[in-house]
Amino acid sequence: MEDSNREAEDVSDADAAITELYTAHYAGLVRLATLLLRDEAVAEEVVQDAFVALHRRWRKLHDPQKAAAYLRTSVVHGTRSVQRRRHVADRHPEDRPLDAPSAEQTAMAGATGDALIRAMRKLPARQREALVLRYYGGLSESEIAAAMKISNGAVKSHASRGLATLRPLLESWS
Amino acid sequence: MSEMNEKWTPEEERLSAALHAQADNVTPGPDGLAQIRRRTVRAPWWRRPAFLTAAAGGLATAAAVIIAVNSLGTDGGDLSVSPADSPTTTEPASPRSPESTPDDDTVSDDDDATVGPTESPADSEDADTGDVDDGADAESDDQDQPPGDDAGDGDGTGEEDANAEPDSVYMAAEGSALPVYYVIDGRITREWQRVDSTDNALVTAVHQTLNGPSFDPRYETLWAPVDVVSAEVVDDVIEVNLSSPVELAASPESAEVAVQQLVYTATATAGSLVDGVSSALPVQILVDGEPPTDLFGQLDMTEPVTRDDQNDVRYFVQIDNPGYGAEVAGPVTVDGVAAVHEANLLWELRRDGEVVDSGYTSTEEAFTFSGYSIDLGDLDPGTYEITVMEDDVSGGEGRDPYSETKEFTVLE
Repeated sequence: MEDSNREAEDVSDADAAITELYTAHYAGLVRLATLLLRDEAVAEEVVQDAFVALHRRWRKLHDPQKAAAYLRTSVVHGTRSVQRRRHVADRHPEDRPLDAPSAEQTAMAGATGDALIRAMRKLPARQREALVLRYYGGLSESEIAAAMKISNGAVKSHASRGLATLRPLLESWS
Repeated sequence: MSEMNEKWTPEEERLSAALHAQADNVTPGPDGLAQIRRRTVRAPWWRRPAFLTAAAGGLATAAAVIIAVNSLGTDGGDLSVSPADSPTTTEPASPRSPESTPDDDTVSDDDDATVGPTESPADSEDADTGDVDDGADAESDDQDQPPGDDAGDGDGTGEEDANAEPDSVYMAAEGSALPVYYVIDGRITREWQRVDSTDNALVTAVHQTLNGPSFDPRYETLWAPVDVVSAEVVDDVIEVNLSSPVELAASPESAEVAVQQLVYTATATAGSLVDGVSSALPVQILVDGEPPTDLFGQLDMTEPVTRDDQNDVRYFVQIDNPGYGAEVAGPVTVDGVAAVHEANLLWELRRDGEVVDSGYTSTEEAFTFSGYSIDLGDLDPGTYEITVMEDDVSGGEGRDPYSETKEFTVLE
């Protein structure tokens, strides 16, 4: 009996935490996942999966800060899974037309910005992850390392290789 | 999401601006929280509709008694046991008969209930069809109690059923696929077996789980060979009477898993084979007719035991069909049950050690035991090995992914 009461408390505790974390992080994580994946609907699914996973694990985590880190890790992992699956389903992903940029996007980032995004999407996944987490997520090296489940050094090298590839575009953009 | 780093170069600032501009185009849907809620507010399995019906049926025939007397011995004599697809087929046992398997396969393909989203497989559905008109006192109390949480629950229900006349049910093992649990990596997992025995199914299944051997060479039993004297359902308790000595074949720490091996097998068999008996009955273990106070020299078994939560004891990836060593014809469909992160499963089909096909599949639900299915299509005759594994081990737990492998033969 005591056990089931405690369980019930844990569940409502988890529910409350999820609501709070949702408000704080959901939109940001969906945007992050969209940058990594391109497909917004799938990105949302990945983020929802992460929240559901977090809910299940809440009893162990119990810490909003750790929870945010867990969500990021989970989202990065989720986007990788999607991409792997996509790769299996679609043998020629390069042949697929890129999503047409929206009018707003073109207006805001300009043609060069758009080219930059396209170039970023062609980067190897780890380089893209490192760049998105750093330059969109604004995360520290250790936070990125945790999210990608790699070492700090590896974060550094993925990010700098990615940046090097994009550099010509970045320099020409004024 | 957070502030810019002031040490960034102009190039880095541009990249950041471009990413933010791109991200600003993304407007998450309005119902994200509702979507998440829908998945986290999952009713406990014992409260789900399918189970409630089964529970009502179980009460209806609460006093049904299955009489079974052992004639198996510890070695099972010259029993013939064959791998079975998940049930339910009514065809007679034809162990190791190549012709029988293809038929089984087509039957079981439609039989999702056996590998369904809640663990209690065919149990619930079979029980649905049980007689409910037999003075069913469907106590709401019982429905609100997790059947597995408190060993005392099982006892309590018996009192209300004094009005029901005992009814004898004899269910021969012959011809039925029995859900027999073995152990892999310290967790229990299910193997369907067809046993050519006219003995009672419950005795047979318990005998098989305790004494093995399993078809799958990765599986083992934690029990030293033991005689099953009887196994019967009496007033909502499954009584399993073993004859001493009763010993562990594995280390002392595995005692509780060993008990669950027996409990899952007995409850699943009772639930899947006997109409109106729920798979959540408690199990009373007896040794030489007495409830042992120190089973394996350590466990107090004076009260009936129920199933532990499957997340705590069950192996997370399981293939139900094809069974290990099964012979199949026609298009091959693999199905099973898994509880994995994000519902993702990776599979590989090998022939002579070479991967001939691979892909991904998903379980119906993430994180909870639910069904999956893989359509391998038409395969050339030969012997294959199908491996299904977790897509990745998430959360940095640093363990090997759970995986399951079955060898099977495609006939001409």
